[in-house]
Amino acid sequence: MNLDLSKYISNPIIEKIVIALIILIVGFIVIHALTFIVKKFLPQKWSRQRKMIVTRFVEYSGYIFLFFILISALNLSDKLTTIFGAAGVIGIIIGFASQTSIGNIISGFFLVSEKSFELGDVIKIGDKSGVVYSIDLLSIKIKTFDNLLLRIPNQTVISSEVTNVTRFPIRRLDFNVSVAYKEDLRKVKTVLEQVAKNNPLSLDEPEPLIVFKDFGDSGINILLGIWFEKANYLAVKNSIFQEIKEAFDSEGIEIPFPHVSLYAGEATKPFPLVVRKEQKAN
Amino acid sequence: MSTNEIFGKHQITPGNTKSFILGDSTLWVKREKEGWRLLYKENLSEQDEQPDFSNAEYFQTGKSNSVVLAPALPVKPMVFKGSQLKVSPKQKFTFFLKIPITIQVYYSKNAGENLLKEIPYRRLSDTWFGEPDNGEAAFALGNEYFLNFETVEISPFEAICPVSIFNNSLNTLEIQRQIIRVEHLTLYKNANKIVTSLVQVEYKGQQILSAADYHYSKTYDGEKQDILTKPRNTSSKNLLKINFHFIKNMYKID
Repeated sequence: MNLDLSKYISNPIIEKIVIALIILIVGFIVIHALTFIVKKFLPQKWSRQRKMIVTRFVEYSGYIFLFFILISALNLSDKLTTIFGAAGVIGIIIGFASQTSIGNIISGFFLVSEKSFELGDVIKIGDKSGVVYSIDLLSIKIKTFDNLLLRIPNQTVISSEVTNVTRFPIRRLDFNVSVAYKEDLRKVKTVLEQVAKNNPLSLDEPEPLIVFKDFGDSGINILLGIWFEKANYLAVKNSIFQEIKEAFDSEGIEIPFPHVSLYAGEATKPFPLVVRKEQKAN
Repeated sequence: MSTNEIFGKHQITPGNTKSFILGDSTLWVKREKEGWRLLYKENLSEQDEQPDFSNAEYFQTGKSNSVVLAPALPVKPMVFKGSQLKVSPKQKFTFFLKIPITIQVYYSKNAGENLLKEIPYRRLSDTWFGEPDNGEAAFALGNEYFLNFETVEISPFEAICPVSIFNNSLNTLEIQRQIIRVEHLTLYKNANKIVTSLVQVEYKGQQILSAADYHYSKTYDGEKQDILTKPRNTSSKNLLKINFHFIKNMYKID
């Protein structure tokens, strides 16, 4: 086989490759420098989300501009129409193959414009939760609380139920408490109110919520809702939990464990129990 | 030790310790060669325990052997619950509140960059002023108020805050919740009392921002204008914010 590479590797072609490489290298450096400068001079009071959108816009615009400079420098502009025309069928194939990616890109734009969450927010999607680390073209990245990086495609995010845990400055933490049927509910309510009042992190207002929920199988179920500033979640959760237990212990209020009572016809009559001794064989 | 003896400059030479009784708590200050150790303990008097400085905070500050203790107001605004107070249209109502102070510890002199530590006299309860989705964090001041400046019973670690509200609307003002932006208040010494600037508010209606002005009053702050502490925040932008909040039952379905 006679392979004549001189047709493909000639001086003009090598020159074009070198020009293209120089343009690309210089172009990348300029784009990154420009993005860095823009990032540095953005107003401090802007949110991280807004700064990210602006810098990404500058970056992607730079790449598009670089592409056209490259085309022009390599004198490919007159061939572009032919290429795009001929790429019609190829374009359809590429379109089908990349519809998920295109869907993710479009979903990304909707996510950003909807502003249901921003960088730094804590969100919950399904059973996953964490801090929004970045919002990219195809996906969002979440840093979980055990320091893992979770990538979720934008299409999944836009079609899922997303809970923004930190959107509002304060939130309520609900504690489900159960007390034995024999307890005085007025006393229980007073004790819970005192627990909430004595905890400095529990907001005075909105007032703590106490609701007698239902007559459960093993005890009376009560909801205690404590309002707090979002940054104090862990401190509030642990301190209130401990304080409820301590208060109940000191007041002699029983927290029942799940149990079933057996009655032999009459409530007060003991359940009949017969003990048999096994006779040993001689 | 009275507050007259606590607040002010104290000279402590290296190796020596001085204690300050702050109500039920004690602050020990120990001078090291070029720094300070501060140990603060609640619910103890200086006779109860010898200080163990192994858990104390250390501040490297240089050669000055002076430490300054100064009173200040809390870092967050205060919310007064005035649910029992009503002001008729075109009436002016003046009342007085008690605000627990914070003790600031500086090295060398009373200047911002020299601040070592702030110790609240009493840990105040957090609260929220405004709606749950839009409001501001504050401390709860409770609902105690006084009508007579002369008869306010006050501890050495509390400041009297005079509040004057003019109801310039056509409806009765039920105060419910009023925010006092203590970061804008100055502390004055008037005889043996610590008094804040006068809080003067003009109420114009529920949907209209009230005009608030915090300034020196000769009547309450004394003729000498003896300033103990300047405001934390000297800009006046914040005063255009909402001063009153009217409670809506968030669990009621309309």
